[in-house]
Amino acid sequence: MIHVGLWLPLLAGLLLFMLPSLGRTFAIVSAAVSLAIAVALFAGYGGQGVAYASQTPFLPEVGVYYAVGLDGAGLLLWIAVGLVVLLGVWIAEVPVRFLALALMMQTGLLGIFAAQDLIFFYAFFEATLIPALLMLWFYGGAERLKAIYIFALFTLVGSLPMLAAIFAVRYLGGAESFLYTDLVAHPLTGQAAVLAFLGFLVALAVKTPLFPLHAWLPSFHQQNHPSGLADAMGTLYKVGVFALFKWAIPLMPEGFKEWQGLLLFLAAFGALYAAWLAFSAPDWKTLLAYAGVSHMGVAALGLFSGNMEGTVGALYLLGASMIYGSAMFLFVGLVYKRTGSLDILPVRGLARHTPALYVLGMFLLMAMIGLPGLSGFPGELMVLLGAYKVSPWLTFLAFLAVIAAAAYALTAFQKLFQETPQAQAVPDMDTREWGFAAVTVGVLLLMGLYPKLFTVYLEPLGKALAALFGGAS
Amino acid sequence: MIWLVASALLFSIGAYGALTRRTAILMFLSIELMLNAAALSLISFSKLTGSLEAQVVVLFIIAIAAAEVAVGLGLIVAIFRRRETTSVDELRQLRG
Amino acid sequence: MQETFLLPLTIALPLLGFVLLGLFGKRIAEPAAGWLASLLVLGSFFLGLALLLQGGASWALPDWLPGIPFSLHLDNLSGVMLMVVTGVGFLIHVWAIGYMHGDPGYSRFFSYFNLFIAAMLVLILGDSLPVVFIGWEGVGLASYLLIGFWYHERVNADSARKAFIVNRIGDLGFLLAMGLLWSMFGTLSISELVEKVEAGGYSFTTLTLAGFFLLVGAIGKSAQVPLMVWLPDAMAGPTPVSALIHAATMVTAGVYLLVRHAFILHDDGFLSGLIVTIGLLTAFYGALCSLGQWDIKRIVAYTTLSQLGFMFVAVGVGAYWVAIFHIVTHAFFKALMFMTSGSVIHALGGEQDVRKMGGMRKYLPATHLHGLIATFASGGLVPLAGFWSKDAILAYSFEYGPWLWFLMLLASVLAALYSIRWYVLVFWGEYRGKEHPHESPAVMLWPNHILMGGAIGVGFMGLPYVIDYKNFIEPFLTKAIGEFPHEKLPVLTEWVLILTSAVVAIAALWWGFRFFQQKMPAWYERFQAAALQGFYADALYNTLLVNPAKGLAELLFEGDKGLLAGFAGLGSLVGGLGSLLARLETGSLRFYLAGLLVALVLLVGWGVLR
Repeated sequence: MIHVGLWLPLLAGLLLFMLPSLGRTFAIVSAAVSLAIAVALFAGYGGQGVAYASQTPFLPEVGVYYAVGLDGAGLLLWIAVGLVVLLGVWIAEVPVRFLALALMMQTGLLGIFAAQDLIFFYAFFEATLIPALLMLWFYGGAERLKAIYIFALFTLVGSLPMLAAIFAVRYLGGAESFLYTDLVAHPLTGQAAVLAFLGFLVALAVKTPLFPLHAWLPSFHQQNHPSGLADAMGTLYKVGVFALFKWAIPLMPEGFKEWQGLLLFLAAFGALYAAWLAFSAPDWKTLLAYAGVSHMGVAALGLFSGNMEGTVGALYLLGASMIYGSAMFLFVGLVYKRTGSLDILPVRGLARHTPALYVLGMFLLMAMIGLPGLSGFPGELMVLLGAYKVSPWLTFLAFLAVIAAAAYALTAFQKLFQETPQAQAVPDMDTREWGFAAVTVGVLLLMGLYPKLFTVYLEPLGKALAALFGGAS
Repeated sequence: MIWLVASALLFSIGAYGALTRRTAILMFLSIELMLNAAALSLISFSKLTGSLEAQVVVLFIIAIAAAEVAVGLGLIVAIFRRRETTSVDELRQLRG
Repeated sequence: MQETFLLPLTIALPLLGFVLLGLFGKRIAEPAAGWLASLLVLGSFFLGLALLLQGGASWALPDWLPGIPFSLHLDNLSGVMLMVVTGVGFLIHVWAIGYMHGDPGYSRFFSYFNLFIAAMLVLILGDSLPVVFIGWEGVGLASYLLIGFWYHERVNADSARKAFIVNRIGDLGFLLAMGLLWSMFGTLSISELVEKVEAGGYSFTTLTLAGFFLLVGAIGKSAQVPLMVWLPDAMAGPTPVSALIHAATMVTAGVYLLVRHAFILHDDGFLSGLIVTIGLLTAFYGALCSLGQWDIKRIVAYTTLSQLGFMFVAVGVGAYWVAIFHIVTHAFFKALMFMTSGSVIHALGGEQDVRKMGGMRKYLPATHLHGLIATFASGGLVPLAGFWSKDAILAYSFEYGPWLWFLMLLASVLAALYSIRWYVLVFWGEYRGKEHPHESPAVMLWPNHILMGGAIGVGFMGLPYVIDYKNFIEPFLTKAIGEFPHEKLPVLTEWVLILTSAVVAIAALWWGFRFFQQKMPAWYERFQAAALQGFYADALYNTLLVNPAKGLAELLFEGDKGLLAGFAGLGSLVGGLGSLLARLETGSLRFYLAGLLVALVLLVGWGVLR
């Protein structure tokens, strides 16, 4: 079933692209089926290790296998991706071909999380770029060409060192194949590990995004279609933390150790830096772009702490922020539908006209700034607990962002929804949007109030990672 | 031994000519000279070391030189018909 | 102590109100929505009382997060707080049924009001610190929603935002405390922490740091100096909000947090001294500012600030049960004061400036009685509630140091002064306005009657030992807080202190009564101008913190664009290199040939030299 789940979106997307007359319903059905599969896989998870594993030789002479499987983290992220894609194709006001591209991208994302072979991981990692670029090219804003250049170049140039490192990891480490199980049994050591880790790091720092390689993100979001669908998919593509957790750190623990101090600093600094300057963002896309960098900085901080709490927090926060980040972009798309603009000023006071939308926005905003009870908090708390053990000062630095987040979020929100209402009335949520709201708020509350659902599977993963460094959690 | 010096001399004359002549034909001629100088040096090596492989290579060179001259002259004639000049300095369309 | 599902039910009831009124509020008619909300709170009150009388209760969901359960715990301490929150909360809900009459957001108001109660209960009942934190930030959210209830006015939205952001500064302290305690002890459950701290084996300085972080959180939530700037602006919200959240309950959460962690604070001279200092500063700051305000709600808001300072001093000198006792008495008389103010505002059709009030005793007899009792209780007149708890604070302060007692006595004098000023300006003299004042409806009067009764009688559960009457509350609370050895003052000293504070209060009330009826002398007017501006605290913060922060945001924003330009520059570097190399493509055959020959020479040379 995992294979169906993995490849269905691509096939559906291709079909839809060639026959757009199938319409949005087809996309919704496909996304719903994908989500159902992800949930079913989650429900059937035994709780230990990598489930649903399968591998077939692809290029056995070189040691490349088509190998997939899902552990706790992978399942959480599969559900997150499935949910976001469903919400996106359901709600976004876009041409059908756009939906098709989103579906195609979904397979890439699912593959990144499910791949158990390093070459396939790389292939999925790079291939996912293509639909993202196409979405930006066909449906982007006036200066999309520049954004495409920046986005593509950052990603591709970043990935080249990773490719080199991939080969180094296999051949210098002495593994028999590119399978995860084989590679983990032969971790790199010494100088090779340090350099190879750097290779991975360059690519993954772009994809986290980690300061200072986040610079591509604002223009990417600014130029994307105002419905928010491409931005939502882009948010799902922030797989850096996952890849570091799954591949980079376990394969080169000594390498990671060398870089740990710097990485902790970059993560903490980036978290605060991005949250601080989000206050000056002139439009919602830019604000959300920097908010995303800030959240990922916090998640990265947790992962780089190298202990159980930090890892659990990082992964949980990753899943949660994928959902609320994407939902927030889609939400802004709903606002755009009504006002035709994504700028924060002038003051619109929309709450008078759209009280339901206002409440939805409030929920999303509060989740974004980590209000306890909503999905952003459990991850952030675990990151805090993990990071404090390693560096109280950097934890303090990073978590100053909670103050900055309240500032940027509430200020922008106030301009958009509160204060003097604009004269022109706009419609409140229709049935479809109510459905979106219900699902989103439900997930925010579920993940916020009952994190045990997922953390029980993340905990052993966190302990395993901590064990690489001496086991103290 | 003296033939080696002779071939070196021939090569240098050919090189000098290739670099300084503007006309395509003369440049070509100089290049041929260099080719033959190389062949000559091969023969003298063969005489010195007694190896016969060098002489076989010279036979190859002569054959290839002939073919190459045919093609090259054909090219030059075609260019001349097109551009009315064989001055190498004016034939610069292949610039990067 | 039983493990029972009924405990989370106390939280679920008001939470249900939040959801129902939030989703279906528009379909529920006016007083019904208010009564629904009020009865749900009353339900929580009785449920909590029942559980408390059975000796307490607990409930837990293990491994909510790895190593952290979702646990609730009702003991005597949280029980008392629960009684106050739901009891006084119920009364204020009922009062609000009348006060909010006619407001288009009626149901929305009660929905948020219920949310607040639910969050406050989570805060009080939480045994696991992250659970407390859910309630902690939850009340912050409710406070934001309620302060900015009429958000179409920019000033209301701004005040709400300010409250939330300043609170968050304190919240960071709470978070760091959790981080530190986890790294020290591997648990965040208060019941487990008590044991581990007693067991010893850790660095005392580190524990002090943890206490300090908790203190930062408490300072933010309880609006102590220096994070007090949000409280006066919070008066932008409807008066029931000011009464419930910013007087009786939420702002006391900081005090509660510290008392809950008495096991960390006691015996720590540094923290005690710090808490006492902060409390003193706040007590004086609040009192002095109150004496300069013209808006009736701001007058009362600053008095709350001052009383919170008293509570902090109580915590600082180790009088933990007294701090809670003061929370209880204060809840009654401060809520009464706010609601009386609200009744006056309501009577005058929305007027809030005391310069346009006066003489209300003639028009609003019932409200006047409320106001009188509130004044006396707030001013610390014996034998009302405010006297006994304040006196207990003074007694413990005397033990800490006679200088402290003296300063606190001064603060009580100011308390009497601001109370009587409020009374005189609102109820005495001649009416200076143009409205037609009308008394409040019964639904607003009855809660005040009950509060008045409480303001009179609630103090009797905590009488000093020298009076031959059982002190109920001290043993009740100490059972939960913990026994901390305490030398009782000699009988004579105790009586002297009691009599001094009683006499001083009467004298101050009388003097103030006379003083505030006259025209203010010039020195008072100068003082007033500064006090009105909160002694320029807001301006100071704006210049030193807020504007530089905004400026930095701008700077960083431009800087980030520069960062991108930097990367682009790297790209053009490559481009430049490319065009440099492209100059080799001359197209000149001779040039290429020359290159070939040079290369040939070099190669041969290299081969020969090897």
